[in-house]
Amino acid sequence: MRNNEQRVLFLGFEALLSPIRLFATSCRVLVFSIVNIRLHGREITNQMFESAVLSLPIILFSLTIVSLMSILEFSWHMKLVLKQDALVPGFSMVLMVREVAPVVTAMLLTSRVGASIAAELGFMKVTEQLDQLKLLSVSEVEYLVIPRWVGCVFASITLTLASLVTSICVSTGIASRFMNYQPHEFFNTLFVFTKAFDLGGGLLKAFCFGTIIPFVSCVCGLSCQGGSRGVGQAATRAVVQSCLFIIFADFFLSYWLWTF
Amino acid sequence: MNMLEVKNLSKVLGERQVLENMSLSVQQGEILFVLGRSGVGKSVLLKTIVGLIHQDKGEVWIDGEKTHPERELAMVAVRRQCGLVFQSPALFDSMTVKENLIFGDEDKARHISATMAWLKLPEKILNFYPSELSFGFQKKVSLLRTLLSNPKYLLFDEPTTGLDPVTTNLVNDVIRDCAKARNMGCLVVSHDLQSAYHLADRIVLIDQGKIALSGTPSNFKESDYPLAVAFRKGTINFAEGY
Repeated sequence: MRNNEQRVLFLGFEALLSPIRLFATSCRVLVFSIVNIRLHGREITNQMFESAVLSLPIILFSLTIVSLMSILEFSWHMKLVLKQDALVPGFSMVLMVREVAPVVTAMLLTSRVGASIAAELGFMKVTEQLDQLKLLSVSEVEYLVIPRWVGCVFASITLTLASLVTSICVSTGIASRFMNYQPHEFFNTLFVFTKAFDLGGGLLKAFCFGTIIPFVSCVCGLSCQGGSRGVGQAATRAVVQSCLFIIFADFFLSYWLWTF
Repeated sequence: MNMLEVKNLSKVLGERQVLENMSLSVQQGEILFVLGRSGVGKSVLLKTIVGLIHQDKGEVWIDGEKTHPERELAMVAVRRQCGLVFQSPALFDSMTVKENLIFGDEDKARHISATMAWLKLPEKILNFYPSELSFGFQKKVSLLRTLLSNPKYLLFDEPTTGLDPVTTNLVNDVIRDCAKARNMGCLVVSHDLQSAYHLADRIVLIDQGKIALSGTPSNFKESDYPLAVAFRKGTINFAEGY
């Protein structure tokens, strides 16, 4: 029994430390690659396209629904408590910038890109493609991890910004259609509580989440064992662990940025 | 003398002793077949030689120089001298055949046509993706990729498994040409006894992580070692575990 507990504890620590170790190695390799001009440009462009462009429709659609719901919920709550909903635009914008846009974007990226990274690297592992990379003296961190990191960070930041623009448009439309706001009136009150620091904080979160997803997913893929079952398990682990990391990181970042 | 030597190699995977004090050598121009049942550590042996798996004990020497698998940079030179053809084709799915062939060293492009002709591969497949090729073609492309590096020693992990008889003969011819015409040392891990009889200068039989038998194909044919007999008959004596 005690051995099992120790094993679970060890695996938990390993799940936490492995992405951090890979992150440290990648930072070192990235600096080395930049100094030696050895970045795999085509692979980086592919990853940016795969992560950002191909994720755009699902993220915009989801954020449209989320911002619609948040506006209607805010309005209902404020009318219930304050008997008016004049502050809805201001509050909803703060929530969107600080939390909803970066976190929902990251969660959706995890399910689309994180699972794909883990499955792809896991398949490469079980079909000996990773061994072949070593035989060709190509660093797997340089060729596989860094392009995915750059692609994910790019996707996370640009899609968070795109989500914000979408949510502003949707909120303005909803407010003018269902809440008797004039579009310009709603738009003017949107930024009452939102400051540049909030936008900076939201983008910092996007950067952190865009870093967490590829590292957790790459560790799951690179440590994959067995055949197709192992690949499936690696993809599942990548999504679950990335989501947990994102939730923890979101809490600590929010606490650090807006509570102090 | 130019040779690839393995001295007292031992490796434990999990709780199983996969290799135990294994020693063998391959000279340039020689073909050594390593036979053994599935899971006895034949692939582990090849991966240990090129440093993809680190041995627990023992040494690998190439042309009189000891390799250091713990030093990744030092293994780059070793991997240039020892080409490994994996059991699976291990081609990169996201690249075309041509990109696969020149990945890591674009100078290889100059020798593609001649080597493709040798392997009887049509040049039109250069722009295909691996998933568009049959398994046999993928294996040949994988062999082609290794040959383009022009290694001194070639390590084959079950090169004819899953191939039709025509392709099997072609691959066997290539192995023989590599050794006899190009003076490469060939270490072939296989189950294919007919290929071993046909090609091997020497045969090594692995049993439970150790070398059970080593000799010429004639020695193997005459041996009464139970596993050698089981290999020849293609049947297993369950009472003796073979």
